[in-house]
Amino acid sequence: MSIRISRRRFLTSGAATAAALGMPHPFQRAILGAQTAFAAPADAILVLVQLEGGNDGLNTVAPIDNAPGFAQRTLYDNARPSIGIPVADLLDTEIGADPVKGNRLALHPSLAPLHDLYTGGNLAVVNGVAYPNQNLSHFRSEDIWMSANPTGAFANGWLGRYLDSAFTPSDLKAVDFDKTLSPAFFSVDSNVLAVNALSEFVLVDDPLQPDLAAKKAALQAAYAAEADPLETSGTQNAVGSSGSVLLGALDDYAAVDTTWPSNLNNKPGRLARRFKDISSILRNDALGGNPLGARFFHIRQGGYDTHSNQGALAGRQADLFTELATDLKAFYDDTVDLGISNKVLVLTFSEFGRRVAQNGGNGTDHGEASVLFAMGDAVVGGVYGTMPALNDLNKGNLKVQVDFRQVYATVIDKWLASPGAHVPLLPGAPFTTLPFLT
Amino acid sequence: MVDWNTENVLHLLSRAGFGAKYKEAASWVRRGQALTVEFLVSQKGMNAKGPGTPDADPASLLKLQTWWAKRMATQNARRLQEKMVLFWHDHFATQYSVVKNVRQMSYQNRTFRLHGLGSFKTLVQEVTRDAAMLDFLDGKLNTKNNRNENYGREVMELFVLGVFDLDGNENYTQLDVENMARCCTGFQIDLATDLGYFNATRFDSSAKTLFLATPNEAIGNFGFEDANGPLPPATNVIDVLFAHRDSDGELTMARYLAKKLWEYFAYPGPSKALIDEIAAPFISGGFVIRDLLRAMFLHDEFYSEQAKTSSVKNPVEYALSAMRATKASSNYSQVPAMLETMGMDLFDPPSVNGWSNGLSWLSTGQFLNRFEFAQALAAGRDIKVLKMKPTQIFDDDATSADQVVDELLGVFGVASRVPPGARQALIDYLNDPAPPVSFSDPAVIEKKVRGVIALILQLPEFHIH
Repeated sequence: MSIRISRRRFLTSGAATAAALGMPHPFQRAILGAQTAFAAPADAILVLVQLEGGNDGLNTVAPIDNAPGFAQRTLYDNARPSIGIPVADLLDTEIGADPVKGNRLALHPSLAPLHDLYTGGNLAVVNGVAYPNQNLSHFRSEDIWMSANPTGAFANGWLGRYLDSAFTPSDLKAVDFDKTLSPAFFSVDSNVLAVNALSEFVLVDDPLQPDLAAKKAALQAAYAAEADPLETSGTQNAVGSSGSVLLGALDDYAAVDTTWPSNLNNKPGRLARRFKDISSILRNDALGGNPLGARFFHIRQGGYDTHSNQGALAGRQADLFTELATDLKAFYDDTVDLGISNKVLVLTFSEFGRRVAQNGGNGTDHGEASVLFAMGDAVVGGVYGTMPALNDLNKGNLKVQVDFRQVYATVIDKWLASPGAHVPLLPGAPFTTLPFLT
Repeated sequence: MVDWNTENVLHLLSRAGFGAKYKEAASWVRRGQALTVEFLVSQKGMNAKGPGTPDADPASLLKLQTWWAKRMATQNARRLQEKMVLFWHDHFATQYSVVKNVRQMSYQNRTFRLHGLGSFKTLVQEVTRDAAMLDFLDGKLNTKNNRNENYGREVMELFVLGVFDLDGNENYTQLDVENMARCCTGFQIDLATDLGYFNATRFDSSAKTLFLATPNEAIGNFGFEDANGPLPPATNVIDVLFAHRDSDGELTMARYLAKKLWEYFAYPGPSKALIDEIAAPFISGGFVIRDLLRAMFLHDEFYSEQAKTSSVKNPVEYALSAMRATKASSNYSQVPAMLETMGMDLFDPPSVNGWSNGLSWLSTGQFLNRFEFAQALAAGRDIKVLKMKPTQIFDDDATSADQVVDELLGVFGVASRVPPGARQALIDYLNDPAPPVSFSDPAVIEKKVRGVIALILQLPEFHIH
């Protein structure tokens, strides 16, 4: 649902302007002269995957050896006697060397399915990402990641601002597969669906006295009045409006086929079910069905707050990674099968990383910089940023190497819009973009 | 003083409880505001044990959930006490899915019932040594030799102070988190009894600093307990926490709790002046929670239009207020699953930050799940699920759809707020496909009257209070 204040437009939106000028879509960088190897599609799709709880970046991408001046592996071994991943177990998931320090790096062994994507050039690993002046509170940190605003109030989210700038309020462009709407989608007036599962798009009836058509008509008429600013205001109108949007979208989403041979079909767990729902929506539009038009998605995997039993090869983080990597790979395979793998960008993030030294519970306390992944055919695979120096910590924590807004700026400028488009959307802009997209 | 009328009574019962029973308001109107409020806040702690089976069997979790749901739905004198148990469960949020021990969760629930209206200091003390909390936030792993910051951080961030004061200044630093974690060392869980206890040999008894370089500066051998029980004031870290002051000199904890309670019971974003006003008797009385609640419920602002229309009911409030208003009955065994579907899984909040309140309760999916509950209640004919008889809440002598709709809107307390277009939609529904000849016809009652009750429960006005 939207937070209604007043409409602001940061960018001119789409097709009408372009048509008037006899030009291609204004968001395509070609207009602005950028030389690109891969033009982002006009209907680019973005899937945000939130690793909730603060994912330990240092065991997501671990050092295999030392580099001159940076005893990364030695310091890693010293700090993590029981949760460090042995070198021998990292050799099968080795990725490119650290771009700055030059030492060898590897993914956590439980991320092996992602290593396949890395080898295929479809996974970017961005190391040392965080927001500046870390607070170490989960909730404050999540607010900052969602709003892209490390200082001040959090009236809306970075994707919500983008939606406001690019679309009209009646467009339904985003679906959050969660019980509540992620603050990343908070906006001035863009409508976003937030739902546990596609299967929830249903109105139930009295089984003994069926009367659904009449009830549905009454509900729609009632909610049309409730959404009318001449009839209601305040919270009443906000609830009325969001219910009205929902009732308008209900039939379209209820009609989405979920009974097709997805690569996610036999995967257990909520994360897989939610990825499958996204695949099904994308498939609906890719097959030319009644178009839903949803292109922006957010899903969440909880459990990364590994104060205890984080473990190394086995433990809470390994279990989470097994699920995450398996599902990400299956979702990628779905996009390949549907012929849209060049249109889908998946971006992972977590509110913070964790302390370098392990704590008394075979786990780690809240830390700072972490690792994120960008996945898709459009991604220029490789390692970006750099693993923070383990001999130069901030109160025991990894120092930020890449401002998180650089990642957002990269996605906005190179995937969703055009160079410089991030400037009005991200507080503190401009930011230098990263080359994981072209 | 506000006019003590039905509307204000219904508002108080919706916030300080779980809604009003059918035609319940009149007796509270007669009692007057002061006596009504005093009756609700003066209930003393109760050692109600719950079903409390001593194992981690999910079936026994359902027993505990069912027991509590029924208690919230049916308690009258103790309705505010149960509401505060729910508030504290949201405030000191602890997840069964992590703790995986029903008896520990039931003991925590009992602690909220025993101390939920009493001394906040006692409540913080009890929560700190609570077995479920020691498990959930790793307090059991936090020792003088192996520090774990999980509880030490959250006790400041979420339970007592907040990250920022009302002027946006940080209340504590990372150094304070580390030192607070040292203050919290020494607790363990006795797995035989599922109770937390203090083990002095694991306690970090060296001197700590807290809130340095502010007017709150404190240095000492602080902790929560020693072998003899809670530490006396000079060394008890709760006193240090409670003495923390905002940058303008007011007590941080009193403001933090006053604001949180006001937002839970009235509306978001109260003014600083209002917060300080309701916090005053709480401070002067030595931090007794009922003093804060009394000040809220006697404040004219609590009965303002903003307080009556700005908040979205949480799923427990929504479901139980619908059940009370319709005189519904149930054995409650399926109610926990319905609450879970609507987003409120009792004993398993989404994180240590509790549930997200406000408009986020009405995301798309939650909307649909509430519609489903409304329909299930309106169609309820089975006590094992939900049972509701329309003839108990409407007059079947009614001669027109208008009359039935207006009467039912009154029963649900929303008559003055439903917009004309929505009222007309309900009337049109009753008259579809043709105006009923008689509203005492069982066929009409079973289909159309039950149907219109479902629709009213789905209107925005019944989701808001």
